[in-house]
Amino acid sequence: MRPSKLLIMFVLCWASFSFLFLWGKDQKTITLEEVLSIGCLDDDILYMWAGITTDLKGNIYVTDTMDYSIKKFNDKGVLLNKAGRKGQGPGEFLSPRLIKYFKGLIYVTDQFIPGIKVFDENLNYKYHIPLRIPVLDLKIISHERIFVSGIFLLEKKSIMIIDSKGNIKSDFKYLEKSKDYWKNVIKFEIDNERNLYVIFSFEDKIQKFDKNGKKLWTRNLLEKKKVKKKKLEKVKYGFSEVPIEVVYKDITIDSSGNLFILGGHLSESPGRDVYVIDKNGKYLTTFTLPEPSHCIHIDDHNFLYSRAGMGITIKKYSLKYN
Amino acid sequence: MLKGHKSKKIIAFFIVLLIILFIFESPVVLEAVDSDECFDAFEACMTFFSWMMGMQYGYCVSGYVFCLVYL
Repeated sequence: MRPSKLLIMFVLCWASFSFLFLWGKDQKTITLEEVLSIGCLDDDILYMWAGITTDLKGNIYVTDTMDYSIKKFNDKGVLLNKAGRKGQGPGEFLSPRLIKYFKGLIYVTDQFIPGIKVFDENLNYKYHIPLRIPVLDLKIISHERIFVSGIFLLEKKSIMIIDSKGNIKSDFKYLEKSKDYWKNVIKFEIDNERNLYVIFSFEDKIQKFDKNGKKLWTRNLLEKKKVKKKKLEKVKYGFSEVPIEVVYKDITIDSSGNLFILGGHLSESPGRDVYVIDKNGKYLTTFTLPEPSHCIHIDDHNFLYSRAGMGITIKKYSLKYN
Repeated sequence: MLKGHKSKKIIAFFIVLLIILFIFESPVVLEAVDSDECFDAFEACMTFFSWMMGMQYGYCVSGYVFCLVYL
């Protein structure tokens, strides 16, 4: 073989190895290491938890729907406190759902009781924020600026920003005009720069808006697969068909600003696949939870929390970035 | 003062309204344990009561959405 041909082959081989090496480096991988498990079949610590949040010390707060209560655990998983019972009075629940910690206060929603109940860190009931709509998601950036998305049937679809008395301070329109009601069902996350990320429950769509409401980007992760729908035969008024699958279940954000999005029925592993994208919408990686979950939460120390055991167990994982 | 038959109609209307509100106290949608039952509960909820009152309609929808997400 001529030396020139040998040289060309060498250059080609070197180029392809370099490409593979760089490509591999660019593909981030995330592995999970279980560090804590709370609740199991042999105890009655949790009956069916729905929402989860954490404070800066690593204490864990959950809503236990079947126990009509909220519970506080320390970072070792020891139950510290419990509040609530069945009822509609102050501090009582019919079906507690979302729970969010913000600077010493715990905000809790109930499926059947309008508004948001507020507790202190020791789970003492403080006050109630009145609201007319059922809440689908909420985030708190200050005690007087609470972002709420809900079920709007007659009103304009948007994320409302309310104060501690339930007054609407402003709203945030995330949606183009759409007659399809189900496209309005969303969950959202807010980063440190007050940018807002929206995931659509029944559509393969993720969007980012800046703090002034300007849309920065839109992207999808599942090649725009569509959810299955079922026709309602008996209903004469209202919806003629409803979705029976969910595209994205939940969104959370890590300390680096990367978004973690829990996939629903259209994912390869439903309720287990977590897609990671950066703040510019660039896809980074996907990892799979050991068990299906309805939500994910990342705390300030980059621990990820998810469901196991059909709602009787909380799993806490350490995220290893490679 | 309202005439006899008129006041009876108003009382009857409020009794019906109270019955509807009472029925909504039971968490129809959330008692469902799997997706089929969830759908059935949603359909039942929609069919009989929800369209009557916009707000309850919303709670029914949010319960259904939660069922789908949770399951």
